[in-house]
Amino acid sequence: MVVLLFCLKVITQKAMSGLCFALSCIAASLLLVGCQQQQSPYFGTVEPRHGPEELWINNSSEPEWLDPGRCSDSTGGEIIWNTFEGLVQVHPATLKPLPAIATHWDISDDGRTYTFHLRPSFWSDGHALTADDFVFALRRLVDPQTGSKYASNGFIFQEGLAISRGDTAVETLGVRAIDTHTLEITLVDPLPYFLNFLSFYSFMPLPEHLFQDLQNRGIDPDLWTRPEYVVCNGAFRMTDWQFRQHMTFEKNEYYWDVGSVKLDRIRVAMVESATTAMNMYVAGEFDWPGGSTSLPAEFMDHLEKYQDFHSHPYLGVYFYWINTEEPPLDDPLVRRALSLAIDRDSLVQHVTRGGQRGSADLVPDGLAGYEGLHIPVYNPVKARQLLAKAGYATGQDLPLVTLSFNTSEGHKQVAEAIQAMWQQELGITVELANQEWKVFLANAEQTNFQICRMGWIGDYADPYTFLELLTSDCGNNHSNWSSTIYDSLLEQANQQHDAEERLRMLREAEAFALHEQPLIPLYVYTRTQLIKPYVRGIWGNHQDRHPWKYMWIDESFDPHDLMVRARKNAYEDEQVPQ
Amino acid sequence: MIRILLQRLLELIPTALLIVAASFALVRLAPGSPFSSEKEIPPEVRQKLEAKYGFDKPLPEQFIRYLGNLLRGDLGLSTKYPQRTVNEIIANGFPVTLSLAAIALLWSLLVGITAGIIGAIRQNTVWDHVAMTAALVGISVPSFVLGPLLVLTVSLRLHLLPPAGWGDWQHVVLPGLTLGTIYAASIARLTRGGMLEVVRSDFIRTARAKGLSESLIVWRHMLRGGLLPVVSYLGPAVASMLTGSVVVEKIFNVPGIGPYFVDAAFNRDYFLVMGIVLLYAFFLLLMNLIVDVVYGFLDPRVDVS
Amino acid sequence: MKNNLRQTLLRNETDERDLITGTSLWEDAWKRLRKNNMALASGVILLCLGVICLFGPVILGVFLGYDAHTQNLAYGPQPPSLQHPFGTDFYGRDLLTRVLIGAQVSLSVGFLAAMVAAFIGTIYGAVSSYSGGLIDSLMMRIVDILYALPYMFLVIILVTILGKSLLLLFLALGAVGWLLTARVVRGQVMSLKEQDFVLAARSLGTTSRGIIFRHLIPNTLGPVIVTFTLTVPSMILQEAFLSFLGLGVQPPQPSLGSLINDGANQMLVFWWTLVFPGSIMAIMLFALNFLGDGIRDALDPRMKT
Repeated sequence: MVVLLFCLKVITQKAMSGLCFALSCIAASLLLVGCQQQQSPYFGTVEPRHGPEELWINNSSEPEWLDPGRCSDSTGGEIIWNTFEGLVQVHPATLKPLPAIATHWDISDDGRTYTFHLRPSFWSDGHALTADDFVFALRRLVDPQTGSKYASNGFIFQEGLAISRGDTAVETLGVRAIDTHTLEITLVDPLPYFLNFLSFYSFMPLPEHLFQDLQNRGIDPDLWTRPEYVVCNGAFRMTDWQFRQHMTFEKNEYYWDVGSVKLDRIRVAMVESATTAMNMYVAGEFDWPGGSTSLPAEFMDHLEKYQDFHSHPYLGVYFYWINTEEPPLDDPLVRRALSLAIDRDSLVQHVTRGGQRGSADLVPDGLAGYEGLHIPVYNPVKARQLLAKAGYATGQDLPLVTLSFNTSEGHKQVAEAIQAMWQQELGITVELANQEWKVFLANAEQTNFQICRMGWIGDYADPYTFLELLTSDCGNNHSNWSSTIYDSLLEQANQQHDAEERLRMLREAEAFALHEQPLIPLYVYTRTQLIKPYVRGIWGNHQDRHPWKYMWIDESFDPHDLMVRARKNAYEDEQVPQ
Repeated sequence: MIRILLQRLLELIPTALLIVAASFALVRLAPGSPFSSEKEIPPEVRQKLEAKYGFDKPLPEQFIRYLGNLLRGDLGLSTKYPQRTVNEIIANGFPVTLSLAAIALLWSLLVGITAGIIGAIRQNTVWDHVAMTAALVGISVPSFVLGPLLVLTVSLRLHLLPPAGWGDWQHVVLPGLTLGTIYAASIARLTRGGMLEVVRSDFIRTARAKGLSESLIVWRHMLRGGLLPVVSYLGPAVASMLTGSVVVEKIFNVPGIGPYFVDAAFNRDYFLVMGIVLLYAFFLLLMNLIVDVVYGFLDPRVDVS
Repeated sequence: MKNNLRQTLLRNETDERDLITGTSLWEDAWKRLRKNNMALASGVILLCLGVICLFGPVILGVFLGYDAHTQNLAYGPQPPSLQHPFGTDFYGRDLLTRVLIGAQVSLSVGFLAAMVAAFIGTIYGAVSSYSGGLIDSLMMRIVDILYALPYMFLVIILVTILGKSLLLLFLALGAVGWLLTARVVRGQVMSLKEQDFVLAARSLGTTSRGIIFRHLIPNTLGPVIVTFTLTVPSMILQEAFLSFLGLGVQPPQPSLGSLINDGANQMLVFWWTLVFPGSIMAIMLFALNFLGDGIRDALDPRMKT
């Protein structure tokens, strides 16, 4: 009774009028917020907010380097792939190596020497591009003076490794110019994936004359990629760079294939947050929120209904490293038990939700003709058996294990789900450690962990890019596991000429390694994209490579056209070039 | 006045030195290195990088070198963005943060003082209550709640303004609103309070007794009394706005100093972190000095030294 | 006749005695607070909130089987319904439970950090002021320097160095929040220390320590309490800021700040994950501010807005 009177007293207070005003504002905004969008088959606006010769995209973050020889991340790579061009390019849908600066090439019998014949082409300042520009670039890549983080890409060339260690001079590199338009490359091993790998940004030519020029003018040559100095040979060149805001690129008139470039200008923003990028896509500020990251998992179910959502498998594997020297994880039985107890299908369906494929193999099935091992992705019964065989009758007997990951919503979600699975299936308690990126990396490098999360993106379309991760001298092998048998299996495979035989030997090596389980693969990545329906010239592929030169704006696109609406996956529908 | 100003400026120097030393020590204490990445770099390369930034020398020597460079105006190199010096990065970002803060300040002063005046003149009426409660709500809704809500309603459902970015006047509205609302609320309350306090005081009664018109009383005397607390609030308000802009810049992707700082701390970009801390510290010290001086002008009873 | 007179005299005496007895500062304050209905309402709301936060999750857990940590991935995020009044989050966890526990964390962090700040600040300010002279000057100079440092940046650096535990969060927040209290207490003690009762205590031979702790500090309690009630919402906000940036309370432990951050990221598709935690935070801050205002008005009517 007293309470009621009190309430009445409060309500009649004049200050409540102000409160009512405030509350009605809140209610109004709630109404606006809660009401559903009208049912459109597209997520966001469908009218371009710019002319048809322009494209607005996002590139995740400010790149560290735009210098092909020094760049080591995908944000820089994305720019370099569109402003420079190497000997080979990849087909935008099939990823087959196609002629670029090189028109054709000869391969020696032992498969280690390639002779490339270059077409006449020019730099964006009018200078002729010659084979010497490639020699300059590749020498610079492995030169210890350059300090390139990706110098290891140059170790495939003869003497590449020795040069980077400072043992021999840079001139001994197995790359030489026979004449101005003929280039000869000698490899250490007859790599079957060499041509696909050659499209990588580390191997692009550099304008030697520009470096000379800058040095003569007393300008630090490291600044050569700034828009006021830069000289490039690709489809676009940078005309403006607003730090952390956006970059502007215009069609490069000196590009040898300028006829097939349809767009005049590309504006690239640098928005890091995936959700902000999505918001901007909805409002029409981006035509395509970016090629370097996937969309957040929370949105997957919701987005699948829309026509402008696309998903494609990606050449990357998400896995957990195991420190194989520390008990109780030094027993391979325990490690395999842990792997078999994870319900990978549930993981990709309910947690990551991006249409990924759960996999217990290291090398994705189907990669360049490789037949995957198809290790069982979930077998809790066998897992318990293995654990018992290892001497732990119930999970409680197992000492506490820590699983570490770097701070990120996605990794946290996966780790929590797996923690729950291990608890449920095996009865073991695992502690989670969420570490900040730099600290996490430092710990990973020093193998200061028990189980830690890692992802590995393939640099080229061949199983070796994943298998080399477990070799003894791979700097990125954080498991403390190594085996001379494994190393020699791989070496022999790479000496093989017969492609089938080689793949068989690689498979043998993978089976051998995974039986020891130094890591637990979880799933194969997918890349999910939102692309405005009026943008054409984008195809899905395993390496998520989408050259800007093929893209164009379809002015005839009509959102009300029912035929258009019926099309679900524009990726398949696009007319493939050549 | 000049003498006092000079004296205060001189006193800034030992303070500044202490701040430099303290931030240097703090930043280097953090574990981890700026050069670690997922694909490990060869040790020779790493050595070369460390030599370039001077990280291979002993710490005290690094500190002396840093001080020397500082006196020449060189804040060092960034490890995360090797193409830019710290000077350039700050020169790019600080004006953006300043303009965001300026707009937020303008908004908060305009709305806050107006609301405060209305509240004081029409005291205890509906207007007063609405204004003051709105002010209280404004203080209670943090910027990281208000921001996303504004984006969701105004930008994504109504399509009136862009949800993020910087460059046009449209990009400025939502971040400015988000950042400034809290301060508008405080300023409203302070203005109203200050004016009411003056209303009760003796010299207003004298003025009324002298027969001065009501509006003259309001505009000359009451307003002055109302503005005094606002002025002394401005110092900490601007300081708070500059640091609070970190969150607003993150929400709206404004290329200001705030997100640089958080990233720089994460990436162990030592020189960038220290550059930003020093910049802010000096700026704030300067702001406090200016506020003290202005306050001295407005209220002759206050002794500035 | 004589009896009547006597009775009247007695009655008058009693009345006079009543008049002379008067009321203490605290009784006065309480009376004024009681009259302020909005402040009382806020206090009641806060109390209710506190009780609900404490017992709500337990009740929900016992009767409905909800808790803040168990995931139900297949269920996933659902909009508000009878079963889940606030809906569920991405993992299928009941949002009402998580918001309540998050509010628990926010309230406790706020109060504890504010208490740490009040504790440090009071002692520091009293010691500094009582010592006077050079020591006072030095101690206040340190306060000025720390005041000038960009607070958010300091905390970010501290958290990056020390890691992200709840305990360190208290310390980091309290370590920077004590400045205001120190200044307030110093001002108060400055005027108190010249008074007679201090002289008396000194002449009796009480040690400085005794004077500070037994005489001066208890008399500063009024302003300290006022500053405390104003610091609590500020501490809650700071913690929420940090959690929003990913530096505060770590998952899976919910905190209002991190819940709001998640909600802001998902608001396009799951609007309830933003609106409900945001509203609870706003209500909490609103009530705290109103109550703080009321207490301040009650304790010091001169400062009334």
